Amino acid sequence: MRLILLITGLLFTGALAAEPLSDDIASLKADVAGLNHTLFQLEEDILNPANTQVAVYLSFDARDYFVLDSVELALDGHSAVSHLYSERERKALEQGGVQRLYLGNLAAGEHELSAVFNGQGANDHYYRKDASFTIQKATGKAQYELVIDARAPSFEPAMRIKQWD
Amino acid sequence: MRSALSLLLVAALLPSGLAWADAGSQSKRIRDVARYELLVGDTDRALHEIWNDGSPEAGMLRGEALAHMGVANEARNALMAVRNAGQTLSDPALLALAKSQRQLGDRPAANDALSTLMRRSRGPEGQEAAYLLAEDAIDSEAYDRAGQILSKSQDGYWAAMGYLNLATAYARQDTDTARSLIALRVARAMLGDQEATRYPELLQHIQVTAGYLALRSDEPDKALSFLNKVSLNGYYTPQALYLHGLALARKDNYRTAMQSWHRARKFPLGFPGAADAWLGMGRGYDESGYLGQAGEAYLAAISAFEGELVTLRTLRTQIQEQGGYEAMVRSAGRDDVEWFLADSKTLTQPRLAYLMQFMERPEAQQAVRDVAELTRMEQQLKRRLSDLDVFEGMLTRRLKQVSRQGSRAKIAEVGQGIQRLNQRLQALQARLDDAGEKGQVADLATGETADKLAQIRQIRSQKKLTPEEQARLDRLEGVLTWKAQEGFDRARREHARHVASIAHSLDAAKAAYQHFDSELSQTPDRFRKLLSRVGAARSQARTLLTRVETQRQKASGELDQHLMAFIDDQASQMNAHLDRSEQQLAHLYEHLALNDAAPVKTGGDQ
Repeated sequence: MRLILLITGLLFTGALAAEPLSDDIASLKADVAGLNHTLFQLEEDILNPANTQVAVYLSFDARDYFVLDSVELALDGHSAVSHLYSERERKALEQGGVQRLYLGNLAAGEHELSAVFNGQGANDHYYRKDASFTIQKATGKAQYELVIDARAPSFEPAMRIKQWD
Repeated sequence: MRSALSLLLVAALLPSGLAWADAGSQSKRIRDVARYELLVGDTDRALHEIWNDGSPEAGMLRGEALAHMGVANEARNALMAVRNAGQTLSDPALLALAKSQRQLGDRPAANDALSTLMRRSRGPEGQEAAYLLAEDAIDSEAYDRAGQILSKSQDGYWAAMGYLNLATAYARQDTDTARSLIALRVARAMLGDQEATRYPELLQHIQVTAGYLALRSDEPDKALSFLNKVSLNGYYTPQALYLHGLALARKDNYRTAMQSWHRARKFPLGFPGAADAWLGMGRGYDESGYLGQAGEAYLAAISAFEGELVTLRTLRTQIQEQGGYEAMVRSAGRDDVEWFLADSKTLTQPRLAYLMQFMERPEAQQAVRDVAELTRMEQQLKRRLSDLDVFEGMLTRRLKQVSRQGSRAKIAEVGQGIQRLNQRLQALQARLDDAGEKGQVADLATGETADKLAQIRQIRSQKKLTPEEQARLDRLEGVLTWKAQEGFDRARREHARHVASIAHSLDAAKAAYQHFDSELSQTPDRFRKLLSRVGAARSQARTLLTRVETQRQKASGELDQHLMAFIDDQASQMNAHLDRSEQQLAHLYEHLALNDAAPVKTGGDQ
């Protein structure tokens, strides 16, 4: 009998009636989310003002051919960010999500953006590939999207870049 | 100065290999960024990305994010607004709406949404919708309806969970376990091999439940067939080992039964089944006729239970002194509830064993989740306040810097430098034009020829030459001039290209300088506005921090109450086990005392 009670307890984890404390917590969460928005915006305006801001995003379009393991990003030869992907993050990318990989500052002018990505190909081959792009930072926000895809006939993973308006 | 100038010098050519995103697609991409952040659990960021986006897609994401945060009322409002505007909700958004409606107690509306979702979605949302509908039917004791709903669901985790629920409900109602066992077999089949690997805890849960039910209907062989498949390293292992021993004991196979109980005894007593296994060992020896060892086993059990009562008292004191969250959750190295279903738990700590058992209750999960969430918010707000202090210091320093006269003078120097470069460029252009018009071949020579002609000019100016040397230099100069004449047009074009390139760079530098100059004049005002925003944000953050701290204390109080009640309950159970062991031992001594008068074979090594 104790076992049944135990099992029942585990099964009905989602069926909780809203308690007054839960209501208070929910209201607090909404207010904290509002404050977080204000703070994110403020942080961006202070640390990454539009005239120097550069953002690099990453999207993934090689779902059936490549399992992304990690990405390393460099700007003008200096390491900017490296990221090791969890299963959850990989799934988010596979479902069409776009990751903000890097947010920083660059002076106006020409720069080199290079990236190395690692992962497992469909043919059990482990890939470590790199790509390099010349980007042009003007006086407004600069936003670039790195796209990892695998195209016919070889379906080898490759990286290309898109600039956002 | 040089670095400042080089910062301003920009080239104007668009680099190759760069594709431009379609116009208007940026807001869609930002929504994709929000989608990523939502899927990886960063809901605050996701909401921030789409804060000012009024599109229906953003509305759906907002609703999903709010539902994920547990802010049910706002989530429902956001999603209903999209729906009322005539938009069809996406599958994740419709599921979020249904869950919010359930949380707010509006079951009919939630079930409508879930039915729609179940009809139209073949994905995970459709499966979860079927599970939730079946759960609702089970709550209303409409088991046939629950079965019909689950039969239409696709195989997978949610269907397996649904059938496990149904099996438990049947077991509560029926004395015969047949329907429950069939439902459990279906639950196992729903998992399949792949899902069983992904969700080992659920698989173990199904097997242990089936084993227990088979044992309840007095079918030890059937019970063993289920229990033999339970992993030896999981939360359900001690329980499965105890039941395994019980099934073998039913078949009078006490020796093997004791092997299972002996293994179960190695787990902390906080795990279900472990304490029963200690008692089982005594009984096993007793039944096998090894009365001496039975006595030792009961004594060992008494000692273990007494030790465990000390552990429980210590835990209780720690909960009173440090609070339950700190004493149980944080001390076990856990500060969230996500770990609960992970399969990499260390199963040797008594504290963790009790925590895992405590977390089986839904109200306990909610209480820990509340404290964990409020603690996270509290830490986040404290970090934010510290960031705001840093920002304030930085902005104040920068404001001083840009307000100093020296900064403007340095910038003016850059402007003068650009002007000087421009004058030199104009002079160069005039010289080039002049040399071109007059055909001054030597002036326009390039590369090695230009170097040698320059050397000849240097030798002529520095040395007093003999007539022979003079003649040799004249001949050499003639040859070089002839070579320069040959490449005259090419050199002219090359020089013109270089001059144009410099002019282009200088134009860009001038534009950047003018922009920078106007930026600089606006900077103090911008910094003052930012400082004012920092001040306002800090005041808002402090107010919220006070509210969060108050709520956290309330939630911690509730968690402490739940934990104390649980620990007290565990202590009662441990006392009951202790009483039972002592009684068994007393019976055994009584039996031995009675047999002393009339000696009998006590078996084994007696």
